[in-house]
Amino acid sequence: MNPFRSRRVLAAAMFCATFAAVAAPDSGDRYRVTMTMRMAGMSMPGTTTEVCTARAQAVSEQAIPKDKNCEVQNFRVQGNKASYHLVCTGKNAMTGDGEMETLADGYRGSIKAQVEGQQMTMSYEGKRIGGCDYATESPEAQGRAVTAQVCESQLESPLSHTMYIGPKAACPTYKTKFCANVNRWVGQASDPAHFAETDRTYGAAIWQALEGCGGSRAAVLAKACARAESDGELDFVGDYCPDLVPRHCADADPNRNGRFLVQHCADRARGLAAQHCEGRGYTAMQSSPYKGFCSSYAAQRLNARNSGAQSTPAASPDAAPAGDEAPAKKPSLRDRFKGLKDRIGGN
Amino acid sequence: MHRIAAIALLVCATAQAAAPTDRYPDVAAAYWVEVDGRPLWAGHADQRLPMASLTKLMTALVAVEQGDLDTWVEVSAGAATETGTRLGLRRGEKLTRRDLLLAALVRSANDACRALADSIGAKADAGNATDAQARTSSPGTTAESRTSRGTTADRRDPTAAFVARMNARAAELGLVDTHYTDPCGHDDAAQYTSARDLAALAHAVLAEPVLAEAVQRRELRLATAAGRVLSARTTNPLLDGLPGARGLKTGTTPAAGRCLVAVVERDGRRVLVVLLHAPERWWDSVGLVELAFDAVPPHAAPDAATR
Repeated sequence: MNPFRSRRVLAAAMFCATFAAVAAPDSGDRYRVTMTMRMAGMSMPGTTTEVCTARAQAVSEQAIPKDKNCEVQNFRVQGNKASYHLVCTGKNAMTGDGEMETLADGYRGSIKAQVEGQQMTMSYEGKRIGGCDYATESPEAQGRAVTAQVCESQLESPLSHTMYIGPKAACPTYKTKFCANVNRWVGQASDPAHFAETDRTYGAAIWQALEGCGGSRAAVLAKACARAESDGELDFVGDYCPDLVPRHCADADPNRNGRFLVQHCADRARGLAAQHCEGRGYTAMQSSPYKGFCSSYAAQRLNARNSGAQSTPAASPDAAPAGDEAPAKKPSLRDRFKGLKDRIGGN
Repeated sequence: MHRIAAIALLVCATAQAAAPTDRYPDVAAAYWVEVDGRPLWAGHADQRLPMASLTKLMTALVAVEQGDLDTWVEVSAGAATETGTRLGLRRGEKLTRRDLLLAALVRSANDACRALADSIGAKADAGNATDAQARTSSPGTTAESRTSRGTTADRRDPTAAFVARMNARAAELGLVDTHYTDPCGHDDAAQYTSARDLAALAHAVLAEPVLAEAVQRRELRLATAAGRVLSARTTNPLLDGLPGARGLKTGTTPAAGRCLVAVVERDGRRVLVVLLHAPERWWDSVGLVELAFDAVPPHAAPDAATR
């Protein structure tokens, strides 16, 4: 599961947890809740969900469908009716007033709000369709289960470190397990090849995870650099240990460390190239010990020759000019309407 | 809603990944570099240019798809008098299609290439003749039921019949900037391709195990049916000198200049380089290969793509 998806699942789980979250009795009532919205003369098709709520608490603050960024204020109950004020913050901020009432077999309610000068009305009706085990079927319980599932599923992904580490971690109780995995992943990183592969594969995420778990990239890299230096792995030294580079330019072996010389020791590389590469045909180099060095030098020379064309887009009849990109389209009223419905209804 | 956004992101990401930059404009009249199938750099990728012996990639593909590689083929007078790079085949000698294919790919031998093309073209001719008879004798047969391959060729000209098949195959592969008039790559104003089309053709060639193996060969040792042994070396020095080189084909003519399709594999990654009219074909292809491997990190984690 990728982080994008996992965040969505987690968000859904958290939303479910806030939908009708009440103290857990032994059993509950299952409602089929239908929501409709009207705005500026337009109606969105109704959506239906089933919810397990605590028994005998149909008309409650928690039964109001809302996003986690919405807060119910002034919730007042009079007989079988209730009224409240709803305040939503964030991207689709809005305020509105709502009411709800208990019916013989359920409840119904509505929220009226002003959105960009337009009156928006969301109506909802919950019809009891049977009983349920609130302890396991309530949105809160299901949200907990999904959260646990997501937290477990990302333990093997260093890219998900923010789920386990930091002030906004959604799975803080899993940090120990996650950090054990991080330590396992970087455990061999004092080996230069392993360090390079880890770095290429996971990028900054693995090192952020390591730091979050109390480790240090600098400490691991220092060991890898020392080992690379002693083993003559100068490509690694050149790529990761710039402070050590000057020590090795003079004695680097052109046959083994051609790339290192070309990329990090310009003066020596120029001299070697003039002596062994320049003016020689590739086919004449087949038995030369400098073939590897000259190949690296060819790449360097190609870059130098084309230094003025580093990022020119390839000319192609199919390629659209960058300037032709359509400007961001202002969302239509229908789009904004739909966005609000998603936000308030949570679908 | 989320799904639409995700699809939009994916489309944008794909479009971005598929847009190469012209980073090395002086390397060739047209060029194409990709890593693991993703275009990285390209210049004049859709320009129609002569292709010299890179033509033989299509010849080989059509031949392999025809099958019957162990069929013995008699070298025609036309094949024996082919010019340019030759294996030295004599009129009337017999070789298998497989050996002719190898000689055409590895040594870029025009005599072997022509003999191979004529052999398959002649069979197509015969097939067309049979088709024609069938159409004549079967009232109600519609024009739409005819095969498209070879129908435009002169039925007495096996080379033209083969070329028609090459063009049909190019059309099937979507090579919109490619047209053949000769199976072996002799210069002709109407024989052209593009760097992008050659990259697509290279993929089709590499998907054929027989061809993927053939283009890696550095040496050849063939025998005619009469026992005359012929040996040849590859025209591609990258196979000797560049670590991981897996082919693919060289080409040179006065009009096309120096051309190359090179494939190099290292640590499970594959770089494809196409050069059309490249003055420093070898050194520059080596440089492009090294730069391409450096430019794209290996073993990117699946999750990393979503970062």
